[in-house]
Amino acid sequence: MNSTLDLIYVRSVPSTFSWDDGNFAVDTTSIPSTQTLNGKQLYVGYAPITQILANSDVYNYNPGASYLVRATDFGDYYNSSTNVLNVSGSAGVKFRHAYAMPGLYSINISNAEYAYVDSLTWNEVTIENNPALVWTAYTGISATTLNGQTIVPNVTALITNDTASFMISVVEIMPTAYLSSSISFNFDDIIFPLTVTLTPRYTQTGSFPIEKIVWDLGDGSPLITKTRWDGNTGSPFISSGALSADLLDPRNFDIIHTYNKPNNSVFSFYPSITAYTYSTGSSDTCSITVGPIQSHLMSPTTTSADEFSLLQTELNEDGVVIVGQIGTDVGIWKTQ
Amino acid sequence: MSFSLSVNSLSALQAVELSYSYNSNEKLKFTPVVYSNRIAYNSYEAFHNIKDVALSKKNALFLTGTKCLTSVFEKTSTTSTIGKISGTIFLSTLSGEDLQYNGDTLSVQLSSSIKARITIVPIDTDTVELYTNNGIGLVVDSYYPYTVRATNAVLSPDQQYRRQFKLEYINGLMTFQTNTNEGPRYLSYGVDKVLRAVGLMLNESIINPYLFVPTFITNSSLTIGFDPTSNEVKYYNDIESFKNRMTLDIKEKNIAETNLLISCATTDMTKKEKTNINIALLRTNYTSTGTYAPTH
Repeated sequence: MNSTLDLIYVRSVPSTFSWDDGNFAVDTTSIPSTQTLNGKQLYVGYAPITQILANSDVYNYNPGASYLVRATDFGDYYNSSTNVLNVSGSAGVKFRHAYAMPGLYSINISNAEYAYVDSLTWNEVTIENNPALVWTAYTGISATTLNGQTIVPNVTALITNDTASFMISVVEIMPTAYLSSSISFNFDDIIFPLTVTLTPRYTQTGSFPIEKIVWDLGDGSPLITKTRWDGNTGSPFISSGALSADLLDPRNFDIIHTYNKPNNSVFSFYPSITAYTYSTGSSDTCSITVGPIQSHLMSPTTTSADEFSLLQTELNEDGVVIVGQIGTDVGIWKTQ
Repeated sequence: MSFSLSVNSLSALQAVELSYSYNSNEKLKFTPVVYSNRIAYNSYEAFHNIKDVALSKKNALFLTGTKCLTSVFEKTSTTSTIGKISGTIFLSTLSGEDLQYNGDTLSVQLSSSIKARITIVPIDTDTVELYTNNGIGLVVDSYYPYTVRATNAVLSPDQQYRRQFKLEYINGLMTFQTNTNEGPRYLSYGVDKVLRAVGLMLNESIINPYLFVPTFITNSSLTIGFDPTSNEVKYYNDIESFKNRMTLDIKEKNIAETNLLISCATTDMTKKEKTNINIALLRTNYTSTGTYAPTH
């Protein structure tokens, strides 16, 4: 038997692929193999789709051959339903497979030619290359006993076996996190306490969709996590509907946060997000600057919310206590 | 008689800092407000929409509007869920199949008679180790397809990551992520139902699902800390049932906002860095006859 075992093509989505684009068409140009790994041709494609088409052709059959088995193992346990394929018959066979997850895969293709062996008895069996050995046991073959002889029917024997192996490396295209805020470009408007809307809507996908966004608001408050499947569409999130075709996408959820003046001399904050992808947990982080934030000018003539009026004072031996009203709030001061 | 006159600028005014200490130093909610002309004060939530203030005979008295203590104090309680605390669970898939042991591997099967009991032992903030009924650790194979096995094998320090899982428990669903040679992967199962680190989900396209539903054998969470609130609590004090008469089960719990009378000594304000205050809730639960006043 002579056979041909080769890859007709390896194709994948382009390196500029983004899940958001919704264009899952693979490049029609076959990816060439430019290197070898473990003595095998290595092909490199991109997740989430790297396709291969393998070819198995057989000619010049062995006259004694009873049947052929064409087998392929794509080495892809993420897609185990089509991972191993066995096909009988003499016609040319083409095997297709698509890899979704990043990783290094080994593809093994084989053509095996088998012949049926007539029924035989124990005493007919000799061990090849060592006739002194006696075959005393067998497994996996149904046998019958006739006239005191154990008869093993319909045994098949492998005549020839051609194999070929290739390597496929599937590479993930990483996401790119973007965070933006509603902060004013007018410096005079950036005043404590500052309420800003932070949105991750411009975060870009790579090979895989975004599953989770972890927020760090940068002012010491606890981390906030938004997962696609967490069912939380309420506080502290505001649904922006920015990705209207997929309202569960975590990039649809903004956060409105108020930055207050801390005790120390901090006037700027650096909120950040980390966007994680489905299945691989690959991530990207970005941060922005909120600030510098100014303080109000306290004056009786500024906005009514900051209007100050003295309520009461009391003098004691160590100083003076002053209570004043600022808008609907009360402040207490002391002098020493 | 002579006296000296001292004139202080606005910046000489110091904001008074209040504190409240009962069991520990319960933190009052406040925002430091600083104005650009350097005058500053502490804006306490308790004083928002205040009703009256009086400084009298070395005492300061503040009558607040109706408030719940939740708005006055910082909530410092934290709830640690499984993953931060130890626990034992059964795991099933979203389609109702149970995880069970199958030799040294695990697989998901319907109507499993013996569910796999898994014990979670936290070893870091969100990293856990998993153990079987018999205390045997679950370890992911170092090679593809990353089958999960129950084994007592001793791993070298550089292989310890194979028995460590990043656990996430959100909204009743649990995921287990492990590191492999090819990066992080989620524990899942394919057509052969064997548990492997081969999770593959892409939005609604679920090829190898990696979300599991835990059934807790032990408590799923533990809350520690200060959780301020103003609750009116009714206990079972009538003949609802004999069982409830013998227990302190709460019959009803309502948040009751009340006016607060906050008081402190003004001498403390000028003498001390922080001024201790007292808070009195201006509401009684009892009628003039001494019985409980129903809220409805």
